[in-house]
Amino acid sequence: MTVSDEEVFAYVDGELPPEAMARITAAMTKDPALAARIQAQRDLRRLLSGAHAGVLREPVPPGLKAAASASGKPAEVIAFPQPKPKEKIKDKAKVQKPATPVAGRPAFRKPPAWAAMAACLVAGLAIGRLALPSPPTADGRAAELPMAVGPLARALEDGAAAQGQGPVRIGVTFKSQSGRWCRTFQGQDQAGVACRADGAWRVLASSPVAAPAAGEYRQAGSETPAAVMAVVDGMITGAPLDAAGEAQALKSNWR
Amino acid sequence: MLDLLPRLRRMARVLARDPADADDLTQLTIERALARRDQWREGTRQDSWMFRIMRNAWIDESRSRARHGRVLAPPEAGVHAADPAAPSLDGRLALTAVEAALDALPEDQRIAVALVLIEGLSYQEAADSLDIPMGTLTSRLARGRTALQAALIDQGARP
Repeated sequence: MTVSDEEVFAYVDGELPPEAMARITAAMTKDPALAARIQAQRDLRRLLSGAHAGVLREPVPPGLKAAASASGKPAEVIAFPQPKPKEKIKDKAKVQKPATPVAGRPAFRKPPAWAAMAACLVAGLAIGRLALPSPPTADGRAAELPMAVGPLARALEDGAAAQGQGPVRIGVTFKSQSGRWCRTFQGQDQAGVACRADGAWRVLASSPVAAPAAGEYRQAGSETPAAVMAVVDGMITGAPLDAAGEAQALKSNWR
Repeated sequence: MLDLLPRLRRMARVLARDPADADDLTQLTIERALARRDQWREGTRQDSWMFRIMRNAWIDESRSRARHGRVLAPPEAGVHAADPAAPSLDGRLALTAVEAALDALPEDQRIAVALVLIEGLSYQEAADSLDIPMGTLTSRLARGRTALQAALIDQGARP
C-alpha cells in the first residue's frame, strides 16, 4: 500500500477519518519503512511541542498582565513567596455552593477537562499550609527550581489524589512533554505544579490562593489558579492519569 | 484571557521572533481582543480567536514598519534560552535547533506549523483562524514540515 506524505502527516495529526487511521495503523505493522516515516513525524511533533516552552514558564510581564486584567478579572501571579511564619491550621467548615456566573460577561475560555477533574478532586477538602522552599533567581530562570521539601515533598511522592491525609492535597497527575511526571498540588495558601527530576520534585510554578474568610463560600475549581492551569496546559501531554494509572505510577516509584 | 497569556506570548515569539517585539505584539493583541470582546462567539475556542487577532495585528504591524522604513529585529541566537525542563544536554540542543529551524521558515508556513503542531489546533480551526481554505493550510503545513525535517537533519539533530 502506498501512503503519501500528506497522509502520514494527517495520520500523525489525528486528522484522518477513522477507517483511514485504522488502515494505516494496520499497514504500519507490515511496512517498516512506513513505520519509520510515521515515527519521524511523531518525533518532529514532539520536538515542536517543546519549542519556546521556556516562555510558558517565565513570569508574564506585569504590563501584559495589567492589560489582560482590564477585562475586569483580578490579576493572578505566578510567584514563589518566602515561607511565612507557621500558623495554626484552622479547621473551617467550608460550604459548597454552586457558582453564580458573573452577569453581563461571557464566560471566556472553558477550562480544559482536566481542570474539572482537578476541581472535583480538591473540592471541599481542608487545605493545609505549605512549607515552600526558597524562591528562584530574579530572572525566573529555572536553573534552581525550588525543590519540594517536607509535607509537600511527601505528598508529591506518596500521596494519592483525594486522599484525606496531610496538609497538602494532590490534584492531577500527568506526563509532561519532556517525559517527566508532574502533579498539581494545593496547600492552604499556595497551589502549584511540580515535576519529578532526578528523584526530587521541583516546583515549576505556584500561585497564592486566598483562604476563604469565615462565612465565605468557596467555589469548586477555584482551588487551582488559572495561572497554574495555564502552565499545566502548556506542559501536559495526553490525558491526566486516572486513579488506576496514578496507583500504578506510585507503586512503581515514578519509574 | 489571563490564563491564555503564556500561550499568546509563545505564539508571538513564533511570529515576531524577537522577544521584545513579541511582547509588544501580545500587548496589541490583548488590546484588540478587549476592544472586540463582543465579536467573540460563546462556544467557540477563545484561543484560536485570539491567535487570529494576533496574526492580523502582526500583518498590520509588519506593514506599518515597512512603510516607516524600520527594520524588524533579527532573530538572535541568544534568545533561544535552553529549556530547563529538557531531560538532557542533547534535549536542550535539539530544542534550540528546532526553534532556530522554525524561525527560518517563511511566515506562512511558520504560522501554520505553530497553530497545528505547537498549539494543537485542528486543521479546520487553524484554517479558520488564518482565513484560508483547508487545502492551503495542509499544503503550508506539509512544506513547513518538510523544511523543518531537512533543517534538523542538516544540523544533526533528531529526527
